[in-house]
Amino acid sequence: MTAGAEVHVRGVHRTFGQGRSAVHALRGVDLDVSPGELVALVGRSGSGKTTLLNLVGGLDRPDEGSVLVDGTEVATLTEDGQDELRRERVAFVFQTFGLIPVLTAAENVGLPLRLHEAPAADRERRVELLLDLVGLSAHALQRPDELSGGQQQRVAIARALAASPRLLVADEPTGQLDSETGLSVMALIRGVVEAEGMTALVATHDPVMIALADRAVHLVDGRLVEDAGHG
Amino acid sequence: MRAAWRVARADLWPLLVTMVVVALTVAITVAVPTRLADGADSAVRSAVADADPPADLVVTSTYGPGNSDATADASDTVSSVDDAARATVAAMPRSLEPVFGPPTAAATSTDLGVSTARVPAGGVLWMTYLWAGSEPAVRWSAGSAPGAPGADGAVQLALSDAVARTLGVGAGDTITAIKPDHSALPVLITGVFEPTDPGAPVWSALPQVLHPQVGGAANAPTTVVAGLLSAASLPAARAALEPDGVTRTFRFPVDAGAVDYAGSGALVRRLAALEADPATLQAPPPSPRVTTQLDAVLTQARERVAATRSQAGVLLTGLASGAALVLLVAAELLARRRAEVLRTVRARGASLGDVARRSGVEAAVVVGLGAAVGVAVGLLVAPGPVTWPWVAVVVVVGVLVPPGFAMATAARSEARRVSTDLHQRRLAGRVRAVRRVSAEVALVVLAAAALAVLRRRGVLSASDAGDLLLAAAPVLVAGAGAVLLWHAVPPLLRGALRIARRSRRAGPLLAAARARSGRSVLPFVALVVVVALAALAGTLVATARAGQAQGAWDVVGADALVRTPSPDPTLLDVAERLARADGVAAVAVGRVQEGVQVFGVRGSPEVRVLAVDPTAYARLLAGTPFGAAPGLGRLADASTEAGRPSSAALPALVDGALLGHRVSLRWGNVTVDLDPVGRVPALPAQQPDGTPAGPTVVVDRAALAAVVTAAAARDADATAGTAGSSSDRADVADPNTVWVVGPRAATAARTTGTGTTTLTREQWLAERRADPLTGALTSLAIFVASVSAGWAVLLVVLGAAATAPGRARSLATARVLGLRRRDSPRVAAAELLPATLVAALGGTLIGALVAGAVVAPLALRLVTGQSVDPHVVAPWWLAVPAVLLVATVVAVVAGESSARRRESLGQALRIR
Repeated sequence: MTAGAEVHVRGVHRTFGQGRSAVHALRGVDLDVSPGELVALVGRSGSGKTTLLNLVGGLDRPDEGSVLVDGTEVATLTEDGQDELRRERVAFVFQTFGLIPVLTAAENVGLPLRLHEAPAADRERRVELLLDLVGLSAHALQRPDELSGGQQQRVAIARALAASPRLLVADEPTGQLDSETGLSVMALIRGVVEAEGMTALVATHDPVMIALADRAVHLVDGRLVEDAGHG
Repeated sequence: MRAAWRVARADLWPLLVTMVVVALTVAITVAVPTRLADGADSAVRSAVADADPPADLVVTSTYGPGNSDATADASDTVSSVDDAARATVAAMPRSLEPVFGPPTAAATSTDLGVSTARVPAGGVLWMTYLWAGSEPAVRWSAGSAPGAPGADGAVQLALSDAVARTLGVGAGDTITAIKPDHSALPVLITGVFEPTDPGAPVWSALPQVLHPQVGGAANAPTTVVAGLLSAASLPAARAALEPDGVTRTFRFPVDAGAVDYAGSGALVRRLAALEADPATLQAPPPSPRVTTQLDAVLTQARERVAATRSQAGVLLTGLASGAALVLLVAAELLARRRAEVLRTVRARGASLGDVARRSGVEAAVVVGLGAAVGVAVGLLVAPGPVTWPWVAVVVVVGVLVPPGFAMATAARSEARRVSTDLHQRRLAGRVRAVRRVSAEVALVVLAAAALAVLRRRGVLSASDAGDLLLAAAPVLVAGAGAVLLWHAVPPLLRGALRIARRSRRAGPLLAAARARSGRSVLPFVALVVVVALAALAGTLVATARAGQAQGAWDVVGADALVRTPSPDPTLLDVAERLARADGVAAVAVGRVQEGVQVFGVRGSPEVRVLAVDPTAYARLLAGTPFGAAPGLGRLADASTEAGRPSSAALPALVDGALLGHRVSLRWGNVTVDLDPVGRVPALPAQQPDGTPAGPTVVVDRAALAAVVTAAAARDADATAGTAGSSSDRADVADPNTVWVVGPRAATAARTTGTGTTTLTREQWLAERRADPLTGALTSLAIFVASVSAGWAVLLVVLGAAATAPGRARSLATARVLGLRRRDSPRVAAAELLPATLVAALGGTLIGALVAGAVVAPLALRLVTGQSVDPHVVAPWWLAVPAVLLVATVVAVVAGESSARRRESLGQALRIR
């Protein structure tokens, strides 16, 4: 079990475009997430949820402000540093699953381990374990387009866990799933976060997911208007 | 309209590629036929101008026995020659008037023997009356013009200064001419003249009037001269040479500039009609004949032009096929890029017909613009008539293909991408496999049939009307080869994927998996075919050039060749001088005798006899591509032993067919038994005029002379009881050829002086390569190779573009998971390179193999000038397309990487 990451976001601004067509996605966001905490990021479409997740996950840089993940200032990392951050400490789960269609489920799950150049035997054991964990051992050799949406998202979650990250960033993980499947995926995320002891930041509209989170924070027009613990 | 423009603008570059390909192909198909037509005209004119003997039209007519009157005056000549010439001109068909110039008329005696103090034997005299609108203008250096016979009854004749000097006679001398019936004819030389204009056409009717012709063996020369009769002296000459000893000829010189390829066919038919019916020309009776080489020369030239057109047709078909394949791949890419749009359009209720119509209108505009630009460029490069059928083919393909792909894509969009039902998936897969295999088998069978027909009939049998199957045979074979090669790709990629799966790293797995799943048959087959076409054209160019070089060796046999029209011992001095010259490495002198009959084998074939000094000739051959000839050493040894003047058979190197036979050959009047001591080594395979040399017998020149002399002496003893002296026979093997090898051999050979003809290898090669048809065809092949390489680059770009979105998504995902930025171009390159390399190397190999299969049926020997088909030469630069394609992949990957750098990773995964 890995220890979860500590996340501190301070005064972060992010604007896309220039002049009159500029879109202010984030306007001075402050957020702290404790290790092992599952935080639901709630807000309407265009409120800045994904932008905030991208900044925390090292996929983007803020125009202003500071993003600390496990004590590392993500905003000032070099490109290689960002790559390393994503490889070593952060994992992602996307609304569109983000699986590589030409790889089998097992190969998709094993990809982060390959990026670590883990020994093949260790990799195979870990992949087997994770597919078993998400209930897809029987589908290991199937490609994403041969799986249902829920199965694909389970594969994506297994892949996210593969390299034992300290922070899980999930962007609308149930957005493309029916309610029943979404529920099982949410339960899975809650379960693995607890089991692995990782920190999780999940953007969602889903009340069930929000209910499963340790707390929910609300973003409105790029501003964090509420940061309330619950449940 | 605006909506259509919006759609088009979103896919501007594939449309631009289509337009450029159409424009380029149309420009080529417009320009090349015009250029070939120009080349055909030049070739026909060159053939007519270079014809030897000249391709003039000659009307010949005898007077008929008993039609002469010794007392007739000049008016008889005027009516029988001058007026007859005018009548022939008037009767000349109007269509032939531009082709032939004004005639030169001659009334020339039969061969008369003549002997003077200076020419005691072997003299031949022709007496001739010449007219070209008037009698030739001369300046009398002594005496005056001939007239009617005087009291002595001698025929009066004038001689040019040169002829008078040669015969050693002057004005006022009377010589005795010997008629064919051996009776004597006194001839009075009334005057000696200089021509006012030695270059006037009238003198070409009988050049011996001004230039005595001396030939034959050195110790028994033949001297042929001609003297000039006047209108007044001709009647007496005719009477003296009864019956029928004077022949009238009316020579119409051909104007090569007035002949062209288009009119040559009709010209050949008209000439044949004239030859069949001389009365058309109102030639004077009693037995006029019309002869000309022009129809034969034109027929040969037309055959060469037809051959070149057929060969060019094969290259053009390849080029157009390559363009069609590029258009297909561009259309497929366009449809793939528009798959979403097409799905939406269908979802909104548009029929497949609507989809096809919209796509067809767009294609018509794009292709129409491209074709217009192409026609304009083609006409700019080569003004002339447009070959519309070729243009139509390109346009039709360009307009029809995009709607086809659009409809197919739209139809596919209705079905679920992949069925989750395994049974249904397998069934659908089997149906696809059966369809694919059927198409592949059909293609392979068609290609095999086309190749078989081409190899059996040869491209020269292709008619003007088409024989598209013959012209398309190389493309079909390349296509079939590409399809077969395609089947080698999946196992290869499966193997690569297996290795990648065992690897620890992500990059190889990603690249191998994408390469395996992203493969598409059309771009691969298209790429293999165009690379094969580039290799085919390149191989043909290299083969032609190497063949021309070999042809030069085959014709000349050395760096330079010095010949005399008849055997001449002075060539030994020439050879000695050449051997001492700077930059000459080896010299050999010999006698080359064609058409010598061999006895003792079935059919008594004719052979070429090469009488040489074996040691010197072996040394010379060692400095040529023919290489060392140990057989000549054996010949030298055997000849030394047999060199005694005895009855021993003549040692000889002979063809394999003659080995083991007791053979003899006829040398002059003597039969010489041969003692075959070995096989003929590699030797020049052609005569200096380019005709095949046929089987060859090589003998020692000195031994030949000794054996022939001894045999002749024995014959003389047997028949007359008197032996001819050996010295009388010393010329039996006089040389007529000197071969020279060395860096400055050509320069040295050109200084050998008058009486010899020099032919150098460089000169032959330069003339062969400058030939309009050969040059045009070689240029076309180089052009086709270059354009095909360009098509290949385009196909790699199009193929990469087709798979770019999937590659970008996969790499973006991998980057999110932590793949280093610098690793992503490597992964992309590793994905694209395997299939590209297989296509490039396989295509090159297929192209070279196809070239090997079609060199003979393409009649490339007509380009090389060889008597046999050239050996296939695959040059190192066939690897250039492969290198070019690798560079293209690297450039494409760099471009994609640069484009991805501008994209945010966070955005890349939001929309699937």
